[in-house]
Amino acid sequence: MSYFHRHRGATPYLLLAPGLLFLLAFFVVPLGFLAYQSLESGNQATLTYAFTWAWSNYGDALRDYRGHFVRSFEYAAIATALALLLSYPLAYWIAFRGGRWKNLLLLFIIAPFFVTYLIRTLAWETILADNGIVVGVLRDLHLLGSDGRLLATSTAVVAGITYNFLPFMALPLYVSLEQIDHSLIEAAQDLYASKWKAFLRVTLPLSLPGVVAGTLLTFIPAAGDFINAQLLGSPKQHMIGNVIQSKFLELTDYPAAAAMSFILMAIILVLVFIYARAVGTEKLTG
Amino acid sequence: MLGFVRRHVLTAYSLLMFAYLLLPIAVVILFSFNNPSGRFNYTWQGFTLHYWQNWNAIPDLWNAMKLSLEIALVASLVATALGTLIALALVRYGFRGRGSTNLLIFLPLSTPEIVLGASLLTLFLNV
Repeated sequence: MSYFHRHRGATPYLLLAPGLLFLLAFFVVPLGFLAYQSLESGNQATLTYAFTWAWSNYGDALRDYRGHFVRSFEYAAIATALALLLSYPLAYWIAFRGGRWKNLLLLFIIAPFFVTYLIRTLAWETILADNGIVVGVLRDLHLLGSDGRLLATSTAVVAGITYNFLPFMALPLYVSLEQIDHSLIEAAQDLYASKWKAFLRVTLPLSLPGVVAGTLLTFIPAAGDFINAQLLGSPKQHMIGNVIQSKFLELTDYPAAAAMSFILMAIILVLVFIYARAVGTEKLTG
Repeated sequence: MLGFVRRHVLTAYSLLMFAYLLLPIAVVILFSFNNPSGRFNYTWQGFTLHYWQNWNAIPDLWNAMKLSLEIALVASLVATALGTLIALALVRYGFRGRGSTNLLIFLPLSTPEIVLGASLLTLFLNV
């Protein structure tokens, strides 16, 4: 960048300053504290920890909780794929057939947010309960054994995650589908593409930025989630978020929890970068 | 004809999806009229208006609600103001450090809430 360009104004830096200072104080500095804490060792009963370059916290976390890490990313991946498959036709319908009802229909998509996350998940606990209607119907259809359950299964946890993060998938999909110039699709059809082929060759590729944004916005929080596994699962379905949560708040094993947080974040970042490279970074920033 | 059928399949699917999205809210509303005998509110045991008539029976409910709204309002205002300024800088200006700014803004997004919460906890414990 040329000298002239750099000095053309302090304006962008002045615009950035408040936000970046905020991020520095409430994101970068806390992460620094967390990193420091992840290398501490000591007594978790008396809460006396000292900085000892305890890299073993990382090794121990990976060794003891490998299953939880793997499960978290499995659940997150399945839930993200389900959310994409479920919400793409819905977003398509609103964008192309919503007409003057579009805004109202979008309101329905974010309707889950009108009830708190915790309460929503508790409602699913009621719906999927052993003596609830869903389990009853599945038992009558012999899709579940007579003592079959939905709660405390990975199905329930993945279903809960899918439901809770569905709006994060549907909204970006809708935005990218809504922006598509309809004349492009008409042009494809004028050139004798079937409706299906026009969708595959025109609509779908043009909606990819929404797919990328939606999958990231769903996958990242899903991988760190613990509420769904806590309420809809049993310890067998616990994810790494549950371990971090209990280490921090119940067991007060701060160094282990801090190390796990960093491992989780590192894996997510690596996956995001691989994903971004695979689809092209320009789609990330739009 | 095929287009007609397909259009209605998609419409029917979308209506089902809306039902699915709204189902837990309906359950919450329905179970607010439930009259559970025990501590748990999982099975339907009878209609009552008791919990609506005594909506403020939980001590400090009103204060907690006010606090929630206050926090939400302040957080939205601050986030909107700071975010708008950053977005203006990123969209309207080319400047040195644009890439790293983008990355710094993306990082909190890629940080699970549990990690954000944990790191803020260590900050407040240490400062």
